[in-house]
Amino acid sequence: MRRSSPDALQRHFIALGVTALVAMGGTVRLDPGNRVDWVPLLTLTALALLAELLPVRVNREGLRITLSLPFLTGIALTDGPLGVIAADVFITLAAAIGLAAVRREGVPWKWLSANLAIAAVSSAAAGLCMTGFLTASGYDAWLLATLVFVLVYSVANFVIVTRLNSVLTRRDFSHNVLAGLKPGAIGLAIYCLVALGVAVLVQDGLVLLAPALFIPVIALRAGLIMKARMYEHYYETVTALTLMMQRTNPYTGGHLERVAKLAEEVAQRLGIAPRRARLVREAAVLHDIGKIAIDEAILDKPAKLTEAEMEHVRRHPVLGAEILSQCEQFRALVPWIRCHHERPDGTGYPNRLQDVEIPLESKIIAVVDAYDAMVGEPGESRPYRKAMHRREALEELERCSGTQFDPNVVRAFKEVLLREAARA
Amino acid sequence: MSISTIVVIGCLSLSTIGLLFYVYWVLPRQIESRLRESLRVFSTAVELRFPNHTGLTDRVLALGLRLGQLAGLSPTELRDLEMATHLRDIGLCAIPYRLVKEKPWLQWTHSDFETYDRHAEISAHMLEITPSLHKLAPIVRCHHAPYDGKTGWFAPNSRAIPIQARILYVVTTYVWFERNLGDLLARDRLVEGRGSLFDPELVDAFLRMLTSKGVRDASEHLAGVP
Repeated sequence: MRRSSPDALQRHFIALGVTALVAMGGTVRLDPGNRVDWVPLLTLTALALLAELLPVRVNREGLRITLSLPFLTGIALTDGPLGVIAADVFITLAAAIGLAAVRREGVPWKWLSANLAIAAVSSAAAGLCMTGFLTASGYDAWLLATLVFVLVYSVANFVIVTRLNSVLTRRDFSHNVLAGLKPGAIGLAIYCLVALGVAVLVQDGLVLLAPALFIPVIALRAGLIMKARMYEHYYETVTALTLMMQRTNPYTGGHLERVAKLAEEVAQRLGIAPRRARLVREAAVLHDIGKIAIDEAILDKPAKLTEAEMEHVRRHPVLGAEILSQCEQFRALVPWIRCHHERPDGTGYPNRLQDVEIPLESKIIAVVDAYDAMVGEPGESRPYRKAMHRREALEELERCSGTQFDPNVVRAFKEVLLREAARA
Repeated sequence: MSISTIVVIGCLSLSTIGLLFYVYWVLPRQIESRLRESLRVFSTAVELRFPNHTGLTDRVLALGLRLGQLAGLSPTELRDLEMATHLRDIGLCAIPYRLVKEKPWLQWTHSDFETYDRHAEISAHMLEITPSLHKLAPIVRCHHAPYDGKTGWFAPNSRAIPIQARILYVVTTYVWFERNLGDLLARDRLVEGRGSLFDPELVDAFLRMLTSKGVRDASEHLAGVP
């Protein structure tokens, strides 16, 4: 994955800092000036801090989330927008310093500053919206106001974090938003319920019972950890299968990584949804897994293969599909891998499918793999073939467009390469 | 307590019970089942490369888990044994195709056997770089290690060989010989290697286990003994 330039990230940090200062200034001006209610403030801050000290790592890039929002909602109800900003900034700072001390690491000041700014902006936006809602609809609508706080805070937080993640990983922002919506929505529903629980306890003066609401929070945390472990195991399985493949084949990690990345970008270019494009990436890594069962002496043979040897090699898409069909998580990839040597003119293998019968994902893998095989250095993908110049390889793709390759995929692939060149 | 408080707390309690059920009952089983499925991917890959290994893993698994229970392994140790059974041979992808596929094993030279036995070390290397599976590496590395520490290219002290590896060595040897030479010769092989190649207590337990009626029936049903 390519990283963004430090300048782009720095610009976003500066913009975030300025937004945070403006948000806090605006809150000081607009805050109705609630009387500080110390018992709920201290109880809920302690619970929020405890939740903040138990972060969950949710993806491979190291993104961590914490579950303090429901308790911050209670603080917003009792102490207003300024109270919630102060509490959120305090717990973010204290938890970061505390966790760094426990892990015996240095405090990551750059990211801590960003987190403090995110906390200030989200709290200010949510606190002011809640106050505005209460003023407009009457102070009895505190249950709905609680939901307004949770929704605004979550949306603000999600948008900022997703934006920073997109800058950092150079992935498309809208695709990152779509990819995060479903898991985010499930967490949000549970947040809303716990926040409502906090709100009713605060309103009824039973705030000292709020620690009981830690039970759903802990359950949610355990669920997130298990889900993260499940994804981690999935990627480790892909890694281990790749290692097996590399043991039997002349592929290098570089070839597979390039093919995977380009396949995902072409898929997105062709309008495939982000989650499915991610699967195309994994299929591109594993597309030749069936070669595990092929005689490596034939795969490495520097001379032309005999018809019998070709027949042996042509079994690999079917074998690959059979290997991956054992696991439910790989089921979506199975037809794509089985068909990645089918050709639009109906002369491919294993089933000589016609153009319309071949999955688009298989066509993407075919184009990207062929291109990288042509331009790769000797030993990277085809040990016996000299690397072609990129222009020659593109001309070859053009020449075979409509017969061996799908013209739309070739066009999208060229656009992706042009965009890459422009970025470089 | 107001009505809204009762309604909210009621909904929250029900949701919490649902969440707890999902997180501590449904999710662990889902994870376990996905883990097992993904392990099957590895054993299928090996079996497709070398079809003479087809069905070996299932047979080794059935007998190995039974022997593990008799040896008093805890549920965690049995789970590691099950995972190691699926992953023990992933290093076979690095063993020359023609050696295993085209040369009858009865004609193998000492050097051929040494080449073949290296798959244990290669499998272990592959597991070591996979964080959630690296704890299985010692079991897989030693699953062809001789008990007396004298025979073979990799011969650790018997105390250094995990019990799951010792179980796997006994069971995989039996299953391999049973398939190729029949049950009686497979038992002879175990008796021959008792104390030198194989843990004597495990060999005794395994032979007793094979003699019991249930296992004999299962063995005849599953093994396809020639």
